[in-house]
Amino acid sequence: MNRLSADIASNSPALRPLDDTVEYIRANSAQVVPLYIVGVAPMTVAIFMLLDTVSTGRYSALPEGCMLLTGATVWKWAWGSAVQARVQEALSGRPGAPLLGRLTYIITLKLVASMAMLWGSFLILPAIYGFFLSGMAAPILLDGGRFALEGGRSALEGARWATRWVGDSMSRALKIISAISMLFLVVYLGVTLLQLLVTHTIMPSFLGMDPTELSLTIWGWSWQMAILYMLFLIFDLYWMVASVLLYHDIQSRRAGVDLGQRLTSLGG
Amino acid sequence: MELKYCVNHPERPAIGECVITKKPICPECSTKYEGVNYSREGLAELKSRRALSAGAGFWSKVASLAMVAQAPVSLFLLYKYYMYIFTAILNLGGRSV
Repeated sequence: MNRLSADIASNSPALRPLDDTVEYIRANSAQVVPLYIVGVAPMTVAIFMLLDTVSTGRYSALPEGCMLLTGATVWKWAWGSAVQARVQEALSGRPGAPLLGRLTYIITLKLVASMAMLWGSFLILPAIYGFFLSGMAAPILLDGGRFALEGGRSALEGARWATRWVGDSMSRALKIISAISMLFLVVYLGVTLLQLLVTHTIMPSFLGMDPTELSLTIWGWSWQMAILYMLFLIFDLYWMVASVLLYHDIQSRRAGVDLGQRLTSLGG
Repeated sequence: MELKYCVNHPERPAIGECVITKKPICPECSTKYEGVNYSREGLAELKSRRALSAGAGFWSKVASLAMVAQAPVSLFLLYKYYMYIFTAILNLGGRSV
């Protein structure tokens, strides 16, 4: 482990940026959420079309739906980068590199990272690298500092640096992934229990209603997939902002700047 | 945050550390370049690193272009992944809803 990683691993709790993210989103939702909604709107349409296709068993409609979903994913990445650029500008207090000029490289980097996550380590990078690289692609390539190298070189420089951080501080990276996964599981369990409570207790006992039909819907594939997708949206927005904060947490230590102080001054 | 003192002026509090040498530095010893703090030695090191990487610029550009050129293949793989997932859901019982 090199000195930078040792600093990162020991100087502050690994999960502090995750806590800060919740506060940041709460305080700045008006700036972040509308852009995110524009980004995920086509994806939501595509997902619900696909769920309809699945529930009606129409094999023939799958290719069109998946093609639409692929396009919507790229659209979401582009708008997600805009969200991250806004967060990054607020955190650094100075304008970053122009987003449009770097968008091709950001999307390419996200694409490569997603391939690592979706198709496994045999293709490009192990999945854990893909997770962090996908989240940090925009902050890395938009940073006006160390990685603001012209054109395509910045993509590769940035990629090398981010993957080195993950590799050198694996326990920290695993802590972050475990915390997010646990949170997702807890929220999903909470939603499931709430549904059980509604269909098995509140409806029959308190409202005197027959929950049979609702139960059939709730425990069907389409409903469960829709619930999972909605939870994914919440966690996707969370990770989008968290990865910028995580990137700045590392950078702030390198530059000797107190990120906590900066967040406080932003009212986060 | 623990108070550190400048490596060159032990009586002065440090405002940060050089991103290259990692040594704490005071305002007088610090040069802000591209938004981050460098010491004199750090700046010299940065200069030599930049000179080295400029030499490797051609291959970096080739690699970057290759990365962008493979994007259609990755997009196709993304599409195939979605197809695989939704076909699996359909086969696993989505039809029974």
